Amino acid sequence: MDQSKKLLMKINASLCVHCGACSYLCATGTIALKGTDPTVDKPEQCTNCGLCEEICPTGAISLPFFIKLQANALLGIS
Amino acid sequence: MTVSIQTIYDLAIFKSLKPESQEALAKASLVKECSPNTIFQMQDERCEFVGFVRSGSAVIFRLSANGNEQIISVLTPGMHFNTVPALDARNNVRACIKAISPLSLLVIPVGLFRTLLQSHADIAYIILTDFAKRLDHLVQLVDELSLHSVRGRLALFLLNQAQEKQHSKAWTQDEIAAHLGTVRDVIGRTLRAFIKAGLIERKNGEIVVINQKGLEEEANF
Repeated sequence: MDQSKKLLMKINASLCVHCGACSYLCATGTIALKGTDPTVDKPEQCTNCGLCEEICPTGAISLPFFIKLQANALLGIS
Repeated sequence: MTVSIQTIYDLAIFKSLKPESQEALAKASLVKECSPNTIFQMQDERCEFVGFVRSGSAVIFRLSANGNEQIISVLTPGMHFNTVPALDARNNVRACIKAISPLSLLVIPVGLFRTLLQSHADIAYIILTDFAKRLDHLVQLVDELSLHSVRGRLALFLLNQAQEKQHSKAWTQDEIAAHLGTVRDVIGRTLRAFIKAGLIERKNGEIVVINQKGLEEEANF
């Protein structure tokens, strides 16, 4: 979906405690540590899996998302 | 900057006013411009002016003692704010307002606003009509906050956003938490619970509602 290409995680440096969990768990190497600071190194590789946001202990990472209705959602089948 | 009658006429809320009322409004008004992310009003400050949005948008929010934000409303062109504190003896504004895009406002100092309402019945009537709409919105907000759990409110929010075709927007968990009067952790946990229950799935930068009926049940339809 084209819209998601524009969506990148935001890292709030003031909340970051430099634990490195985000870069350690990122499967695509999108987040890398520069010194102890996490940075979005390869944005084109991000798959929007949401793991970095979920693992961050201080809520420093926000991953925006769109909310959609699946065509057959009314039937409750995917 | 003083304003022309055309500037008054361009605001939908004032279109139907008599020409003399529009002229009186133009004389009493000023134009104020704000940059994005500017907080131009803090809650509990003295109310200095009533504002009408000409272009751009702003968010009205209240801060709790521990710093959590509760978003009351998003201001878009044609909407107004501070009409309640302007008419109230306490005279303090109820909420903070932050521009979320370049914002142009028509502002009327409180004293002049009161005089306009007293001297022009048609201005008073349109402000009252708008009060009625906003009261209805607040009743709905109270209903959502007091009668529904966070789980129910989030389900309702996801359904409403999923059906929103014209103003589709990317959300973060923080923003949703602010809209629903809760905190990010609770939103994250509840989204995971909905995913586990097969109501939604998260993929490629989207939350996709895959079981509308199930989500409606969560929202207590």
